[in-house]
Amino acid sequence: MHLRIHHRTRYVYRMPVVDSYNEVRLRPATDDPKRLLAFLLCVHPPRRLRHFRDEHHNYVQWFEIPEPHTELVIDAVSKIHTTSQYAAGGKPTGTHFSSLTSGEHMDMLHPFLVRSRYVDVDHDVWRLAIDARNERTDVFETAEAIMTFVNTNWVYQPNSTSASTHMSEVLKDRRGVCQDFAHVMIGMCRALGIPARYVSGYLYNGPTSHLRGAQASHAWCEVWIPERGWFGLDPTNNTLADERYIKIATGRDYDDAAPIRGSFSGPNGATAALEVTVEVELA
Amino acid sequence: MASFDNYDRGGFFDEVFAKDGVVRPHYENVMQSLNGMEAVDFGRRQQTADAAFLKQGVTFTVYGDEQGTERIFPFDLMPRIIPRAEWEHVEAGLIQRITALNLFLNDVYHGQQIINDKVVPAEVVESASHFRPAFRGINVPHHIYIHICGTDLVRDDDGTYYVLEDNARCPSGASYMLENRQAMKRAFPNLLQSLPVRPVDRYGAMLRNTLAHLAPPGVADPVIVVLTPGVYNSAYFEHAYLARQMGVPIVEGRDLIMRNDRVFVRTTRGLVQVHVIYRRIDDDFLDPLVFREDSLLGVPGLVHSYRLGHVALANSIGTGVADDKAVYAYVPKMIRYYLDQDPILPNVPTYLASEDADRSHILANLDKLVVKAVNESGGYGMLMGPHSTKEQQEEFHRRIVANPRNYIAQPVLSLSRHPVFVDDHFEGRHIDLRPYILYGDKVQVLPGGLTRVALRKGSLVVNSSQGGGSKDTWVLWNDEA
Repeated sequence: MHLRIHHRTRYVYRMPVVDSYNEVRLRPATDDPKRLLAFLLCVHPPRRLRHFRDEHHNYVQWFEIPEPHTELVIDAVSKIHTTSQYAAGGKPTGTHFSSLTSGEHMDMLHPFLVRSRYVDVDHDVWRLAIDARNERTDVFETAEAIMTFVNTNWVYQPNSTSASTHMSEVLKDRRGVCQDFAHVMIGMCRALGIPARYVSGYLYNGPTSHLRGAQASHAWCEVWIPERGWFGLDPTNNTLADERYIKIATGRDYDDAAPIRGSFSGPNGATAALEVTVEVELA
Repeated sequence: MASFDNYDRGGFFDEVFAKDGVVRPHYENVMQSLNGMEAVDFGRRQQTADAAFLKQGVTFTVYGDEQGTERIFPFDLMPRIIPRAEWEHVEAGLIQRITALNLFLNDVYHGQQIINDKVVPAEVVESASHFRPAFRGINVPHHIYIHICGTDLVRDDDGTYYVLEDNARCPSGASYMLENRQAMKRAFPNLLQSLPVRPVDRYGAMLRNTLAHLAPPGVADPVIVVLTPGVYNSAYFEHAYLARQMGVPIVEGRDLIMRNDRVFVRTTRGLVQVHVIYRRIDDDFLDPLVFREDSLLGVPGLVHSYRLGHVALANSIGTGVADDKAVYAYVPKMIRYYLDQDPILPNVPTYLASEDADRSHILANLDKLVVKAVNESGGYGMLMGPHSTKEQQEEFHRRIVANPRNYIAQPVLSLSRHPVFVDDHFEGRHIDLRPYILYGDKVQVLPGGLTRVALRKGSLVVNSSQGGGSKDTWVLWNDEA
């Protein structure tokens, strides 16, 4: 699919703020120019941009605005050609749980098997995961079962949680948004020894979408299948991450992959408004 | 039509025919349709189109010609076609470029970080004739300086697109692009409809939205005008045409008046405040109080009102420093500096006589390079190395040594060619492309642009005043037609 994404974030301040420093992860996660046809970040007030790669190889752009300003607009426009990672080989089934402990790279995968900032891997999660697994021996089939389990047992409810809601709360309340669904699924996978990571990005589902998270920032998760690599699953919509999914950043959880992270100096409550608009359309 | 039988690619990159003489996939449909047509029929359609241009007054003015000053802009009926993937590359490159140029302007008119960081030398900026140091520290609406840009692109003998120059002041030609499409709709209604050609007729609305975006805060329904030097200007047709497309008044300086630091237009119903001016007058003539005091074309006090934010100008003042021929050489560095990306569209390699190493190279290769005077346009002050005499080269040697900042040099490019209809058959002619980029709420590039053709055999000059013509430019939704 040829998709065009326009992601605009606008902060309005009640009074001038200073010394703003920001790191953004807004570039689609591919270096292939045949896939990423164009990407441009634009900041107002106009600013020089620089970038680095973080420990998850995400493309991070940063900028600073030391002088007083009352508005900050961050505009990211991408044009991308997407394909489904499932299109060529289908589902990566056929890998037994036993290969999770013996496979290569398992040492590199350690961070995706243990607890992280927003994800717990404790007995409660493990018990849920065992139920969802239901004695399956195939790794990918188990991941799919967990996806469906989370999708059916949690309620999608916008504004019921915040960006900094921990998974343990979501486990209790059984409701949340895509970020929370992803955290729960990641925790359950990790509890069973399946390496799992968080993905932030976008979802296209046509101009009149009924899927959750479409036309907005979205989040889902990826599981590691030995010898095959990372595969995306979306517990919020109970679907595999196919060509409608545009990956931006990955990490242990939201904390590593947040689209925008910044700070500024100003009085308490200086931020009067935060507006985010995302357009994902066929190009 | 047997009109392509003796077609000679001439060793150049031809837009229609690949090296082996095979028609490129995106031209297949058009070639099929032309092959099914008699040359006389094509000629008749060409005549009808020419007559329509004349009748509608799609003309430009040639100064200093006794034969009459109004000419039609010669139009060739065979369209220039750009497949989707190629256009996406061009579009991404143009958006990247205008973004960097705007960051550059904002920077040179504020903190000048790029100079402090020694990426662009201070002398290059300060010696640019269109740099307006008096505008340092002035905030322009939304920090945008170039709202309308026309960037000239050429293709080399391997088909690579290069940026030849940016026109960041008052780029013209958009009206010809729109009229060319109308002419094609009349001449080949079925062909145009049967192919996935992207439309261009939104330009008027896009331009209007771009201008409306500049209006002072709180003005919901801004009054926009087009400011023209007047009916004797070479591009007057275009000024009137674009005003009509946008549904806004066209005015001359004498129609505008200052009251209480605000700009008003005289109308039959009294004075109406103006919020946005699409000015087609150069900086120098805009306001006699600030720039040339002998200018009768501008509005005294306009610049002051602009500084106060009561009225917006498109393009802003001082944008000419961004399309200066010496500054041009630094645009790839600017893109890396501001955006931390590699340039998508390359510059034509450019040597600056002001830099010692470059100057030695220029002086040693005067017989191979094109040398251009930085502050002159229209082919004046130019040395075409391979076609020059020893005396001309010696003359330029002297001039360059005496005033290095005023000269740049570039290798001679073999521009791509495209078939044009000549009498009763097709011949290859050199072409370029000027796409139009609009920077308002977002950056948009109108699909295609104005393809200019050097109609004289062998000529590389596409300017309308010197025997240039144009073609309609079709950008396809697909990679094949």
